[in-house]
Amino acid sequence: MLTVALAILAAPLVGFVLQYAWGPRLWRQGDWLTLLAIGVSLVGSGVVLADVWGGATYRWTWEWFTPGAVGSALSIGIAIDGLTAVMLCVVSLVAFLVHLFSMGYMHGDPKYPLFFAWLQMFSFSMLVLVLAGNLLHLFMGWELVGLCSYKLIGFWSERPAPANAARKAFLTTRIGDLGMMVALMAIYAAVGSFEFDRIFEAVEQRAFDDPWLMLAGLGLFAAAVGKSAQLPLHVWLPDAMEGPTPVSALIHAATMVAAGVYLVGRMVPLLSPEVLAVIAVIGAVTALMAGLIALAQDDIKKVLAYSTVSQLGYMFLGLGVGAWHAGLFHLTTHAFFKALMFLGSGSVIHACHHEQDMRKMGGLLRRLPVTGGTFAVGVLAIAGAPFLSGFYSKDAILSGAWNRFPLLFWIGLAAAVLTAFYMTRLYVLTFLGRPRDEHVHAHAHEGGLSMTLPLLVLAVLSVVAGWPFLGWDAALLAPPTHLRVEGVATVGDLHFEHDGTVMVLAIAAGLVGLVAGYAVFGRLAHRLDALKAPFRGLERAFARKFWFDELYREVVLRPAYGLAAWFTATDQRGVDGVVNAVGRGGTRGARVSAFVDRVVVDGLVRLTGAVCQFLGAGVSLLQSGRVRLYLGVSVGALAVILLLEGLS
Amino acid sequence: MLSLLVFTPIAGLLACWVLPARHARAINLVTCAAALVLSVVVWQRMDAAALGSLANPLAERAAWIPPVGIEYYLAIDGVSLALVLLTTFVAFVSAIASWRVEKLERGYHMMFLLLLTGMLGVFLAEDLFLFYIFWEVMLLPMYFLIGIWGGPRRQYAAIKFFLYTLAGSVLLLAAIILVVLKNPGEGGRLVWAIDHYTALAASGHALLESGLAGLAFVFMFIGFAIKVPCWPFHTWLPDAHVEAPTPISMILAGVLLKMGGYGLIRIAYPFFPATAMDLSTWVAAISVIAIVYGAFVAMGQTDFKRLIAYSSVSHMGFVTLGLASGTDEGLNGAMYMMLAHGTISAMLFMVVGVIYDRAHHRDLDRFGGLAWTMPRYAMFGSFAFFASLGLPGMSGFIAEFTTFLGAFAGVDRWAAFVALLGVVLTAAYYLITLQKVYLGDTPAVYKDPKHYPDLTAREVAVLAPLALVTLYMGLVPSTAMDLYMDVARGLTRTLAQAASGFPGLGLG
Repeated sequence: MLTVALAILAAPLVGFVLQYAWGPRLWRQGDWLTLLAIGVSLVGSGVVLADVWGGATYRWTWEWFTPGAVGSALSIGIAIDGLTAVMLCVVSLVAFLVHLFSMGYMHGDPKYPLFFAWLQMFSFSMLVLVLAGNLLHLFMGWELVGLCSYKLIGFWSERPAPANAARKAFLTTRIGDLGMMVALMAIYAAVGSFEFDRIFEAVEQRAFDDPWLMLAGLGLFAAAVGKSAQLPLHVWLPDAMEGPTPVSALIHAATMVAAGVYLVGRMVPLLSPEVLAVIAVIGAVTALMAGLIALAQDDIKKVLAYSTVSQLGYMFLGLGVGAWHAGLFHLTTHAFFKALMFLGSGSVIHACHHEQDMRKMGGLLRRLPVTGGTFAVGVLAIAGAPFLSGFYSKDAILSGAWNRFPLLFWIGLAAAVLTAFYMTRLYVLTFLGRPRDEHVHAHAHEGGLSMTLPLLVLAVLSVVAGWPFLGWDAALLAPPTHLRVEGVATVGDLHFEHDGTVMVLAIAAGLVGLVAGYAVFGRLAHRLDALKAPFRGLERAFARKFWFDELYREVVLRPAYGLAAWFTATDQRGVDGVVNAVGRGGTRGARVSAFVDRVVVDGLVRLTGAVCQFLGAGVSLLQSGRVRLYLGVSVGALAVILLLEGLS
Repeated sequence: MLSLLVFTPIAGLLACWVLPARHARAINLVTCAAALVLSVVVWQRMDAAALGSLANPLAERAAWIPPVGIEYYLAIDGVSLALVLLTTFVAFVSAIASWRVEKLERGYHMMFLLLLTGMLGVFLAEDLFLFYIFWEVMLLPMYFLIGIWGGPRRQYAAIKFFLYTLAGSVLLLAAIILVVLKNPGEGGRLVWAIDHYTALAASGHALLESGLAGLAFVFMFIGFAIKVPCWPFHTWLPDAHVEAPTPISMILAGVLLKMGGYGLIRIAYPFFPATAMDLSTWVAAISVIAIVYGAFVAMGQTDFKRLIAYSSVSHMGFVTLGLASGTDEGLNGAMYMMLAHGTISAMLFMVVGVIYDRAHHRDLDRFGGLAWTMPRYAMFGSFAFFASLGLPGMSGFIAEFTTFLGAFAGVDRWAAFVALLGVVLTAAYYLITLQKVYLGDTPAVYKDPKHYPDLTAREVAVLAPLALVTLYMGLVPSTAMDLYMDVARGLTRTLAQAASGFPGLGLG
């Protein structure tokens, strides 16, 4: 098994190195090589999945380095359990399909080989994160995916927008990562190890307790908030859409942004009920707020981005209410249908010559039947239409909330209505109705097989991934063994007892959203402005994303730049000013004493002469740079003093 | 063996002097290579016991000025070895970077080699007087290297550097003399051996009564802090760096700054463990000020090289922060930061040098889009940036991370939280810089491949070894840590005992 795990990791790493170094010189610029490499990972992940189906777990650790006392060695290691296997398959499968899709989408780009190199690096980093057997090791993968995200968002950094977006993404997530650092420090101080099992044992035995335990929990969640673009650190994800669309599908929908959910899911035994409550509330509020913003976006990718933020909020809601399994279940199904829709939008954008504004689209279903058809599956899945994957996972989350925090259930339900509503809006504007821009419409055509095949595969998965009789979720997403709160442990099994009321409400919510969306944006499209008239203010708030960017600019960025400028000025005038003043004072003093030396004391006591020579040397030093003389004098004088002292 | 190592550069210097000037650069390079090989040989000769103690077969000891007890005493343990390896390595790549110095070629390379002897001597001298001699010896060539081969304001920078460091030296010397005079050995003879005092202090014997000890420690601390440089003694650094030629900046940041940290670890802290722990809150405070303030000031720079210089101030704050914690992890982090920063900052200054050679300016606002015209340069540049901002997988991360573990475990836990702010700020200024230099639209000037060629083979030969070591140290930290950890643990033991008033000795 170790061989398989190492092969899963090694393949994309080797792929990256080869592609980075020699990609441009290879046949087809090396894209086949990277596809092959990620294919190896995919097969390996399948092997792992089959192996751990029955509940087997594996763990390997290697001593890495010893930061402190002897015997306090930290390790790197690989741990495999059901959750790992699921994540491995999601990551390598989506990555494989995105590689394939990119062969069509990125065709003709001048930096084509480099794109595949970084896709490989990302896949490697993400697999490191997933396979990590301890928190420190996980953190390494965590930061590396951040780097790859930075590189890929900014792939077209000849233009300023992608460069800005990349920077914003890296810095915003890094603010969250401070929480991770705090958690690591606290865990190290209390447990002395980052091994998952050791941490959980310490928590269970109360060796690791509040306030540091609470701080560690909140810190970990802060890191997840950054990575998974939750309130209040969500602002980077919509901007990240400046990256090529396959990147958005892979990194900013299916895998990296879900890493925050994975982290919280992995570390759930560490989280106290209070922290879980915070997680649930943040998740629910984010789900609702992002849904509202998504309503007023015209850029097809921005809608999907906010939809991702919203769905990630759903996952956190699930984890927070203790429906551990439901949150991770939704992570998986969401990965499929959101990757499907992102790649679908990529197909649309590709067909429309990089037009992303939905107001210029419309009627594309006839031109892009495969894209339109598969996209419809995605919309239905995310809306929670019965028997599609999203239905099962969303229902599980809502059931959990219903049992624990009814208020959050209603927020979640409202978000479900919104989801169906804005997704229908997106679909109607893009694929249905009459073309609004003939130029865009006329040349639109389906991409090659490399682009349609991934869509078809993902569409199938979006339908079937949630079917209960497959039983993968029950077999693989067993609740963690160490759970701190007994009450939560039982809620972890909630998904098996589907509450009838919840199910009816969830179906109704999806239906209302779909119908309302079709009615407003399809049937009544000609009267849309009149319909919207009473909601002008709200629409403005949604369209401006509740002014988060403006707020941060005023509260964080401007003061930071101000401080930087102010400190820079003080450093030159203040701190260095003192230094220079001392220097000037010294020079003047030296000049005076030199004067005294020359005119008044000339011929007086030798001792005074020596002192003045000392000072005079300072003058000549400043004026002619005779440093050697001074050094000679000072060292010589010193030796004399020492000799005298020593002999006495 | 150690003498051979220290004085090999002097042999090279003489060769430069005697042979025709056009051979000087080759002699310099060969000499640096020889020193590098020698230091590796020394490393190979040291077993675990030798790494843990200065009293090993490699030590060389002879009477030098018998009436006052001054000895010629060179010795090496893990801490010294780690820094010696850093020194010879950085010197070697800097010698490659010095290949195209044109002005007064012979003099440059002679000064370079003299500097190398001074640096090696500081890390190997175990007699306080000898240590001080080497400490001053290294000042002189540095002064000339900045003052003659520097940029437009080289005179000002050189004098500032010299006076500043000299002021520190005077304080250091006063403290040393105080210690030596107050602790005569058998029969009233003066003792200068560093390990003698270290052992005395470790056994619970206070070298000076408390008031004087405070004074001596503060003197020593300032003397070394100027070199580190700690805030607020840092202002010589940006000027010195901006004016110094590229290879000298590499040495200055890569090795010279480490002497301050070395002095603290070798002399100031072991001599006065109790005082050091009493003042730890102050040290932690100036450390976090350096980290955060340095990062803010770096963010406000428009000169590429000044920015890197301030980033050094910020990063060296981690060294003193780790020390202040008095924990194994903190000391480990401090040492590792010195080694990591040594290679990363050398890389950063080379990155600045590469573009300065071509553009003859360093104004960040006038660069842009170099990634599209000089891709290899952009690769090494962003590698260095990400290494410096502490990306896992590279040495800077291990250093910062270990320091944080130590700072959190130490007395001044709050300092760790404040220092975290520096992590975000560091990422901010590096990413802003990366964007300004490498991304965006390429101004027409830089599109001319004749004046703006991508990295030459020589430049790659400078950057690639540094990058490889950075990567290696990030992936396999134990290699370097195994060198110095025994000594570091010994020091923390002393510090911990001192902090608790040496209970075992009943002095509490």
